Amino acid sequence: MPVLGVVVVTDGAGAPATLEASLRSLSPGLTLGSWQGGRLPLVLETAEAGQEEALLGAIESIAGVWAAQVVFVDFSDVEGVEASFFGRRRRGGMAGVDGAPAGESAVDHGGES
Amino acid sequence: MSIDRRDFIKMAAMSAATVAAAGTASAEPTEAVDPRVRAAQSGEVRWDKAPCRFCGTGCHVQVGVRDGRVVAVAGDRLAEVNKGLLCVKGYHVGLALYGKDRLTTPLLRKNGKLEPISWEQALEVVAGRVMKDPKGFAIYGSGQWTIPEGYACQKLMKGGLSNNHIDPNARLCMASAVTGFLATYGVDEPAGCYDDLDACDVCILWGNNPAEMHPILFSRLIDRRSRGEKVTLIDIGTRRTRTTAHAQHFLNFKPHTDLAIANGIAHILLRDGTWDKAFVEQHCAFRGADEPATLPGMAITFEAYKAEVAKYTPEYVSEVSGVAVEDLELLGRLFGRRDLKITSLWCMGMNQHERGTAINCLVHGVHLLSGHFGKPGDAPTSLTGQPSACGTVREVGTLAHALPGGRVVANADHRRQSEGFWNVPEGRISPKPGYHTALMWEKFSTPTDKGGDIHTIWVQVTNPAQTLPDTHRLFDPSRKLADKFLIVSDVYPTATTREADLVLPSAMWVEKNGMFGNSERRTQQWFKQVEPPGQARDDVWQVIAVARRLFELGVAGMKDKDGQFIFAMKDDEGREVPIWDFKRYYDVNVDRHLFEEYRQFTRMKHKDLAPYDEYVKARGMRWPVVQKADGGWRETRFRFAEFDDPYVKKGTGVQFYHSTSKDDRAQIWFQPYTPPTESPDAEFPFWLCTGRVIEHWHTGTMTQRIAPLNRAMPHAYVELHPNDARRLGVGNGEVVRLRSRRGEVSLPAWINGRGAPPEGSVFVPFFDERLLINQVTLGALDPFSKQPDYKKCAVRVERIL
Repeated sequence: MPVLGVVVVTDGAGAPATLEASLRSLSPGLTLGSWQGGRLPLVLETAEAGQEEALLGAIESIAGVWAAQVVFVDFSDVEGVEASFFGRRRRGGMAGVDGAPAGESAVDHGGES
Repeated sequence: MSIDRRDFIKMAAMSAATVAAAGTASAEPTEAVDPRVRAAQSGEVRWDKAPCRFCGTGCHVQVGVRDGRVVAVAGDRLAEVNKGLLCVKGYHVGLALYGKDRLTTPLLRKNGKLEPISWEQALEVVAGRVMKDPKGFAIYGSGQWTIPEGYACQKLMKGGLSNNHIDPNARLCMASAVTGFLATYGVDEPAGCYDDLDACDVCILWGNNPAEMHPILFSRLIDRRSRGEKVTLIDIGTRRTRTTAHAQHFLNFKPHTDLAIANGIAHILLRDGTWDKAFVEQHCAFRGADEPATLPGMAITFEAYKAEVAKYTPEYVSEVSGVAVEDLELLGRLFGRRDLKITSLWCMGMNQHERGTAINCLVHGVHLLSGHFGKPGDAPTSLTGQPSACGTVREVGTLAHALPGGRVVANADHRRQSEGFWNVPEGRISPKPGYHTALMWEKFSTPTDKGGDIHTIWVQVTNPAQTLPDTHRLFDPSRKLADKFLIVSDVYPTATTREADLVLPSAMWVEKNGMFGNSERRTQQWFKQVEPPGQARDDVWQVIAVARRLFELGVAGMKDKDGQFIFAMKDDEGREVPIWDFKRYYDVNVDRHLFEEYRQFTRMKHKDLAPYDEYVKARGMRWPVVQKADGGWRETRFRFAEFDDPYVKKGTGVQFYHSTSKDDRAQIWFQPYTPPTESPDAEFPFWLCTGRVIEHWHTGTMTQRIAPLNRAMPHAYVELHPNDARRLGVGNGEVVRLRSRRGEVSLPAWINGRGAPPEGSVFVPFFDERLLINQVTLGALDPFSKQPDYKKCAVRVERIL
């Protein structure tokens, strides 16, 4: 599974301990580093490839966080990169494409609103 | 053991993050990858630089290779563009190499099926198509071509086959920016650079969503805010996006009315007397449309200009555009302030516009009229969507009318100079421009006996079956015409390879040497780091191997004036190397040879490039790059400004040295607002806008094979306003049919989604070939750039019962 090195950029206004608690509550796969001014380095690893996107989104939604900036990724353990497009239906609509059920929700994209 | 290695990797990740967190506030880094990261990985990973494969930002990544495979990427700490940071696509870029279905062998269509053949056979087929009728052979290329790839194609076609039918997909993405720069300054590409983002007080985003499309550039702005700096973001858009969420002001305008808004700003500046009289009098002239309309237009007086913009009162513009009068006044007031630095950014919103040249000219004009030009932070800057739309297309000139270095085929001097650099006989280059993209595909899709004189197109590094507008008209018909032949070089199966007659497997990104040129005139270089899979081979090799086959068949154009092969290359000992034999291809650095030849072309328009080896050392350099007294090389950040541009005459402050009026002045254009070709009506009551999403790049052929990105955004959708959804009886995720006068597509609705179009508008991303929105789009072309408008057409939305 990928391992990411991330810099959390904050507005510097909140208490570090509160933010750290919020981060720890998100996932056991977060390892926090030492504060560098208003920036907190952390390591993020997930049980499954793809979960990191949701976690990064969750970090960015914490009050006082400006951004979660990724600076390093190791994906040597990531396998199963997918998608064979040969045979995909080129024309037409959504229903039945690749077995995707008609009406598959487009809103399951990381819980954005 | 695996636990130990995992711990090492985590140590490396923490080291990189700690260094990056501390580094932004401390001294400049001296190593691209922090030594602690290297140490944590026990030296088992070899690191080297490369620009990211995806967008036009031009971030540099450090690529970690172990056992012949890319296993890690890190933001390059020495890269000025991204300063060690990566976006969601950038940090997955290594995985783009490892889709399970890479193309690994040439495929020829036989009895309706693509079947494997040898490279020898494939080259014979391509050469045969050229020989059939060299004038009916075309190359359709890309802003993802490396500089040497584009240059090799350019030389093969224009310098070899006397054939100008070569055009790139960049015609679909930035051609109107080019014509805007040419009409305003007489020379292409932005005067400013990304440094402006670090210096501006106000950043105006004209139909631009950098939070998703150029996230690293956007993070430079947001990062400044986190340091307590005040940066005002103004989002002028047709729908709310992630960018809007960070903007202080959102000006929601009706599609196409940006022309009126720009004229409205000029009106306010003149009304209030806040235009920069001194700057304008010294450095600008006024321009209006002539009859018949030409790109240079005709000179008009200041009084005539003033009279034209008099109509664009805030009240009138508000009525046309839907933007509130007070917001228009705000824009006018900000541009009228000399104490602020204002940067404008735009990308597809202004370029994929049936009057793209006009709106580009008007935005430049607002900056010139207000004097917000020529100082760090004061610049109108277009962004590009592809990694080398500037470096390869605009600079190498891989367009149907162009030659390298800002030259054009229609100019006899330019042809003579080019023939000289290529050492080919005078008269070799045809003076007649070839077919631009839409015309090339139209001719390909027209029966030969009805004037369809393009019989073969060789597509490289792009996917026109998905990206051409109105594909029913421009792409599909050719596939039913027996004498039309489609060749595609690519790395993965795509909508285009599936329709091809011959498929050639290509090496990608760090599987080959390469050079890109990004949005800010930065030329970048990288070396091959891993082997391509199977028989996949470099695109440059493919071009040279075809040229060699033609040479062997006696095609005169494959010889220079001395009878030598036009791509002949010698090693350091002066021995010719048979680079057309793939086993020998890397015996010399072909990229270096081609680039040094191309460099000769770059001086005419003050686009000077440094020697290849300088780019090996650097994380890119912005042209013009000139040699210093000490022998070193110096890049230019701010063109036309005396304090930085070595070509500006001392004492002038600002000099537009390629002025179309030949007097060192830039042109402030008047272009009227006129209604678009197609607008919503009773039958097709919605505006359709198309574009991109952060997870996927262009047609998704690479990013949809990266599992995390594909999971995050598995398919396309249509954004719908909740009121429209309610009225239509459509729920979130329910499939609706979008129908235009040209075609239809069915796809799920996303209500209150990531982007929020206003009532009466819908948005669809184009990355998903299963939900092909370009069956619906209009294909109206800008009259000068010939760039299609993908940002607006009229559609009907139907609930599927």
